[in-house]
Amino acid sequence: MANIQNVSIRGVSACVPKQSERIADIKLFDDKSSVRFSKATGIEERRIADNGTFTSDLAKSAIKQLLSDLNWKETDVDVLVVITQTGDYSAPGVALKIHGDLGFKNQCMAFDVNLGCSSFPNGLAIVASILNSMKLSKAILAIADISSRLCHKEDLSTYPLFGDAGSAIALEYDFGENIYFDLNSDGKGLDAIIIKGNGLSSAYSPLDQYNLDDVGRSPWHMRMKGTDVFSFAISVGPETINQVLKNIPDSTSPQAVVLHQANKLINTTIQKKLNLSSTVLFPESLQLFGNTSSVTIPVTFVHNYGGQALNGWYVGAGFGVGLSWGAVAFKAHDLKICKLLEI
Amino acid sequence: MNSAFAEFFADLVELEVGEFDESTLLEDIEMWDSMSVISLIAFASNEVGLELTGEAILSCNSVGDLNALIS
Repeated sequence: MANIQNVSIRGVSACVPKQSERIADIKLFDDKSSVRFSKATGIEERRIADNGTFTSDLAKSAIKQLLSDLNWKETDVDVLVVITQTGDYSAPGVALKIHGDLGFKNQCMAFDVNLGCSSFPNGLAIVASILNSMKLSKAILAIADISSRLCHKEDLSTYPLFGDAGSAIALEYDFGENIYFDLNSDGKGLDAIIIKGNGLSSAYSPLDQYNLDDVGRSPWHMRMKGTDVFSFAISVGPETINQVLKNIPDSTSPQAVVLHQANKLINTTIQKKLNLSSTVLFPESLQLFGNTSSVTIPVTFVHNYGGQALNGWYVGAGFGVGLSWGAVAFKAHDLKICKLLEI
Repeated sequence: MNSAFAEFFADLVELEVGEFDESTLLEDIEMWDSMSVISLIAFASNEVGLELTGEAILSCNSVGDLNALIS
């Protein structure tokens, strides 16, 4: 079983755009189908970034708030990793933009990682590994995506599902409990969710208008095989969570299991299959924020526990684009959850 | 038809149990859509212990085909 020692998670923050769009206001849905959509997915509204807001803006706001709440200085940070699939530029990564704008020191690693819904467990593994193996002190993991801009507005298989958000997680080298991981990939499923646009293999010109499909989607729009992703999620979700649960002291009673928020039906199905104690909470953020892609787990922590200090064992599990999936179990010691920030 | 399936299916497509039978074509049911497909995958997984793919469901033409798939 994969585990990482000597790293504590100190805090979690999240930032969403102020502007909200309700499912009931999406013109392509008639009243009956919007009710039906919300009933199955659990989504009633999402936050949508305006055209002048970028991934770095959401991430920077979340990082600034987290540093302030923890009394950390910008120059304290030794490692900055950003996970996103909607970077401000093709290169360099959003981490460099944030590093410069926030005045982080030069003796700080800063780079991006390309992952989606499995970002929370994978990101914690990357950052905690660096802290532990290099004996560095403080790290920020920022996870942010403006997914709304990847969705064609008439593509009902993506557009109503996704919302925008940014988040930050603070980690520190410390003699804490082990963090347990179960991380998995299946690249044979890469077509299940794909954005072809910026990749060199696509060789599309940004001005290419000749590759529109029947929905009107260009290579820059996300394409998702929703039913395949659904089957995948309910099949791998319970297994990866059970893998990490068996390491914690009372494996049937963590404080909460925070699932990736893709759709309510996926989460209730996973919850039923887990057979955990009825005291275990499954907090959600789907109703007001939709599927915030890579950011759903931090958003769910902040939406449900903002302003609190958490203690006890928590599990986070994500599954999606890749295909990539995994879970993490960690013990919170006065884990600072910041209040939700809106910009 | 499996009665648990018939009740689930009626609720799913917003019909009464008597309003369809095994020969009813899915294309004739107004509320048979992608939401129905994922709901059926969840039903099969939770209630029957069967892992269905979207493809298997989309290859069905009639209610009877679906019933056979989950039985």
